[in-house]
Amino acid sequence: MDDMKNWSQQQRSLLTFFWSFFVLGISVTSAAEDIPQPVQVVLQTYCTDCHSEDYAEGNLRLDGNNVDWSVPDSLVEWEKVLTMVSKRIMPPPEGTALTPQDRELLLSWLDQKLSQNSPVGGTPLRRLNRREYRNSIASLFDLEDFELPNSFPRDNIQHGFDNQGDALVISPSHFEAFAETAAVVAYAFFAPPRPIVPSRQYEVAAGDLTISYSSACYIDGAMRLASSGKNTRRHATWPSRFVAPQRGTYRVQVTASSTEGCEKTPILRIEAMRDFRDTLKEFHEFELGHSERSTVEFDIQLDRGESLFFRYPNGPLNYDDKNIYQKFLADLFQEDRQLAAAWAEVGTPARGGSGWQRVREVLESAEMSGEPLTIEDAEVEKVIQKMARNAVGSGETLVYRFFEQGPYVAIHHVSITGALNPQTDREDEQRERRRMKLMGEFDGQTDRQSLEAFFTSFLRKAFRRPVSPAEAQEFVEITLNEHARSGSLRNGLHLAVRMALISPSFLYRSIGTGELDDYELASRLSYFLTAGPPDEQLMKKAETHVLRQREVLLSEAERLIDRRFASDFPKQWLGLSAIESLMPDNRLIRNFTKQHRGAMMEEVTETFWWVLDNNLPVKDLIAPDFVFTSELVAKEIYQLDEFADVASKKSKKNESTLTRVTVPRLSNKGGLLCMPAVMMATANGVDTQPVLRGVWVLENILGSPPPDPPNAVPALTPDTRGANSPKERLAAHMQEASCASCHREIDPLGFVLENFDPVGRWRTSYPVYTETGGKVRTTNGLEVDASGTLPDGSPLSNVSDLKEWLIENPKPFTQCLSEKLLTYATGRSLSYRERTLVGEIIDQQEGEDVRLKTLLLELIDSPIFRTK
Amino acid sequence: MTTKSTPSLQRRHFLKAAGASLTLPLLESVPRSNQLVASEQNSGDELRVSSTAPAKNLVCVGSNLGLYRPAIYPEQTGRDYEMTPLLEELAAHRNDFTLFSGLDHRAGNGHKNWDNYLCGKNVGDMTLDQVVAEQVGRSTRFESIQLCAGDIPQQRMVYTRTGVPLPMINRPSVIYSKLFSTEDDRARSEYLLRSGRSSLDLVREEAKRLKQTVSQTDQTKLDEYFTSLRELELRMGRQLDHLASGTIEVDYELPPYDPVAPTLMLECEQIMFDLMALALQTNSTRVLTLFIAGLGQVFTLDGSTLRAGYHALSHHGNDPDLVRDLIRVEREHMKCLSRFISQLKEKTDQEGRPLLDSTIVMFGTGMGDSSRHSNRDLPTIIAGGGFRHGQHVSVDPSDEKSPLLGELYVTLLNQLGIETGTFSNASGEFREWTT
Repeated sequence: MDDMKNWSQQQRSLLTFFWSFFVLGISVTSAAEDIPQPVQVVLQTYCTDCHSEDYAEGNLRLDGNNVDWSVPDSLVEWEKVLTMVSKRIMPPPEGTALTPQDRELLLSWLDQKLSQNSPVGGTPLRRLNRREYRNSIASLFDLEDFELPNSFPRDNIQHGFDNQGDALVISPSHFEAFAETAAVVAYAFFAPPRPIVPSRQYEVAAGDLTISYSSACYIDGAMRLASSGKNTRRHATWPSRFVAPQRGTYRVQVTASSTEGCEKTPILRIEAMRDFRDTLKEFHEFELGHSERSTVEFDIQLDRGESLFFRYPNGPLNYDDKNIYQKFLADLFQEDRQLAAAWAEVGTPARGGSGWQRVREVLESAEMSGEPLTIEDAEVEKVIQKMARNAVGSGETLVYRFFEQGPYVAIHHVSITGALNPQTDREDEQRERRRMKLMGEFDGQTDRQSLEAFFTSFLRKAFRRPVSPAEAQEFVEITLNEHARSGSLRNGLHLAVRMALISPSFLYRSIGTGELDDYELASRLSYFLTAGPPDEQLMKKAETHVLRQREVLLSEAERLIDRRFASDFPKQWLGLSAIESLMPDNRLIRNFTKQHRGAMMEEVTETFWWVLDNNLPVKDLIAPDFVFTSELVAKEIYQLDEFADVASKKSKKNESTLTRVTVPRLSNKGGLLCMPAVMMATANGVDTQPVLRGVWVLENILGSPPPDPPNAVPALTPDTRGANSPKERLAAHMQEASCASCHREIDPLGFVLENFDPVGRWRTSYPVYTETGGKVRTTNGLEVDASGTLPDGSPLSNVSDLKEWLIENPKPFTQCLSEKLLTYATGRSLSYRERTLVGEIIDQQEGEDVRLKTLLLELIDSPIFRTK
Repeated sequence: MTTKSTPSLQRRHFLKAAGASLTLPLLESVPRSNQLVASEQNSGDELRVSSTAPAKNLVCVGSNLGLYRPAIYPEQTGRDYEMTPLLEELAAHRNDFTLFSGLDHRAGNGHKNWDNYLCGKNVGDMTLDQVVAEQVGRSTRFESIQLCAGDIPQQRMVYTRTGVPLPMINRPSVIYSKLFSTEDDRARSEYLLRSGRSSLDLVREEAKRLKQTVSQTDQTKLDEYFTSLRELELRMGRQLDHLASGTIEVDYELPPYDPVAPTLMLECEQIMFDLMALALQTNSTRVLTLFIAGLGQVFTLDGSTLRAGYHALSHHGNDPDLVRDLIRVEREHMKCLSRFISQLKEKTDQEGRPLLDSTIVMFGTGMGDSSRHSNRDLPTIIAGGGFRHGQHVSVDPSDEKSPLLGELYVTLLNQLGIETGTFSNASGEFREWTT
């Protein structure tokens, strides 16, 4: 009952709130405020030549004598004026230069007015983004492995983030995807019973077995297998036209043979598997050992959708494992030097059977000529090395020798009968279990009261707020109507659950206005820190109306802060998504693997988490005395001496764990400005682009993004012929006054990072590539000149100088990070007043340094976070 | 002194002049970037569709590994070219198709860029087929259908206006039951559609109630919800109308299994082509795409098993054996295409004209040379659609002034009655061909 009362109160107060604004809206319509005379004079002196009724350059007019500050666009426009003037982009060089006094007059008036008049709060209705939607469904239905289909639409990015209210649109494709996903999820719990497929016999001729890559070969009416190895697609064969249509026992007859006189008696193995998943349930093995056909019979359990996979598990040729393969080749060539010689003569035979045919031709012609091929031991070793390096390629060719000469196993015919004792599909069993878990004690109850109780609790979780009895009642009606219509309660529940999942109350958050109520606050906190809905504990705090108390809010926040946040937030803040798709030039780095990529991204997460979890000073993100790195990255990217001897091929287990390595604080290693992930994401994989990196520093470190380039300016395409450095090339920016106004701030910051190549490795000169006869040689070209300047004019000679400046002047970075955190949290860019508030929060921090966790908690407790 | 309000956009002035109550509450932020809110349904206003266009349907086939250019390009251009190994398979239709060589989008290279085949310069821009589907799709049950022969690839072939990649269907049984559902399936689809529709009705009521309680800008935001809901409802309605009108009888028997095993890709390809012809014949859709995959399949052709997988063949490095087998596989694609063209000649539309006359069939690729992963010079075949065919049209791919593939797309759009002058980075029709 309490809930109900609270709910209706809430609705009422929302309405009152809304109406008050509506009325207020009318009353302030003519509330334009005069611009003070001295400011008008300044505007007329410097601005109105271009920004008046006649020209309105950039669609902006500054020739009025009053401002209506209640119009949101006014705030946007005047803030732009403030930015352009404070960055000295306006007035333009050809205009009258502002005197320091006039500048001060204009800026302080703007600062005052914008602080007074810009709002706190204002996030629009926000739909769940892809991640949040996925996590919400997983949590609501307790489906940990739930995955959205690949085709599920991606979100638009705004302000660098995927969770911004304005950008999260619902297009028809989105809606269709939501509706389809809802149906799929509802199906996972409530589906009509499936009819049983009657038993029958399936005949599989040898030719109907699948050849995948070089996994099998059809010779003399049988399908031969000659390699062993785990990879199903490369080493197994399976019926191309049969999958079990029904769960149950199948009786299988396999007619097979093998090569005779093998060292190890060949084994034929038959596995029950779904698709190509290498998870195995049941298998049967048979020793063959003779060339006569024999037929074996066995029963095997198959689930619907599973099939039979045939393998030769003790086949001596296994090119999945390089070490085994290398040793195998050594033995093979010991025994058959002719083969090694023929292979060497062909060089690199083409992959597959035609490559083998070439090798065989060489062998045969040597035999015919009566002059055996010869080969030196050292050459044999080279052939082995080369084949092992490209194990899959050479293995797919070499396997044909074994298809032809053995040892192999050959499958002549397969006959499958079933399902002999049809059973409920595993999927259906699972569905029953899931449904029982979801419905709990209400499972199987069809009375109105039980359904009401179920929906009251289900919808509370789905909508992240208590629901009124009327709302729950509506879902009960739907269920019962559908039950009556179709005769199935499951159909009724199916429909109701689908409806809940496309309801605006599930899809949207940030509903309402003004200060967030307890439930909205719970959602904001939870989606901010975990990208998922509030858990039960948090919901309880909202229910008992204590969440808005500072201590409760902060202790809940502390509870929810975890690694996931450290992985989600920095990736978007720093714009690192490009790393997934960038493929660095292989002249720059050979064998760039997903282990490199993974470790680079992990370093960002680990660093952020270390600083956050230990509540270290924010400046440790800039100039820490450590890096987190994998051995691979430490060796190849950081080029740390202590890792120089690490073998390049380590087991995968070691590669994914990062170690914390100590580095000097102001060195060229450590911190966001020296991280390989950042340096890679701000280049293009081939060469560095100082402009991009300069913009990146302004945007993400200094929090002072340059304005968009004016429309009229074409993209600068520098003439790259001649051996000039990027710096010389970009000098063109400085000659064009309209470019220079912004680029004098951007470019010098980018140059400071020029010591980092496109994968983030330190360099002191640019590489020059010369190609002769298909081979590329890299030599040192021009020296890197990493000197630059800060926006305030302070000279920098390299990245260490920049780091030093940032820790001596910590405010801009701290402010920037705070604004990014709040943008990510609230789903909108901060208003002028909110940014001022952030500044005040930072200034109020006690102690010498601002610490990351403390800062984060203070931001969460701020009115910015607490307002819609 | 006159009173002027400043600064603000003209739009605001208009609002103020129009009434007293339009000033927005203080706490709202106004969406600033309209392009983010671009929705899929209202865009139809930008383009005009002529009802008397020569072509009605568009079929785009994309081969992942392309076609081996030396085996398809004749030396001669114009009408009197000599047949090449791949074109031989299409000899019966010589006057019903045109081969283009040298066209591409002048876009970047690499694996990922296969996807710009139908996008133009940038991967993710609305694809040619979707431009058409937006204009003509609502007149049929399915706005468009996306198919795939072989394993579902990493590649994307079709993107909507908002950059959403559409999924492909690679099981013939799935598309078959979608198009020509049996009694059993019908009951089930009808249930899903009906219940789906009633759930839409119900949430609409809920959304309406919600709309009463939120602010003005949030109401605008919520309008997206209503519009999308309406659009989905229409889609479901078209499906239901079809179900109500009874099952379409087609004389076509699917194999009892789905040919999804790697070895059976060519079998799958042929079935997909057949189903596309049936879909056009039954007026189920006017826009179809088919992706031909290119992974590790080993094929058996004319009783003999090829000695390497299709993908391995494509990285032939000019090895003559591999090239020979590669051409054999590609001839199979051409056979499928030829059979498809024949079917479109035999089958007729509702006015009794051969389907080919009103159907543009494009066979192309996002990869010019799969051996080197080059995206330059994409071999492209256009058949049907009421064009004058019979030529080999060649442009110089190394000349920056050469026509772009996008110009050909503009020509196709105009032929379909969609009056436009541009596509991606191309402007104007491909005049070298049509004039």
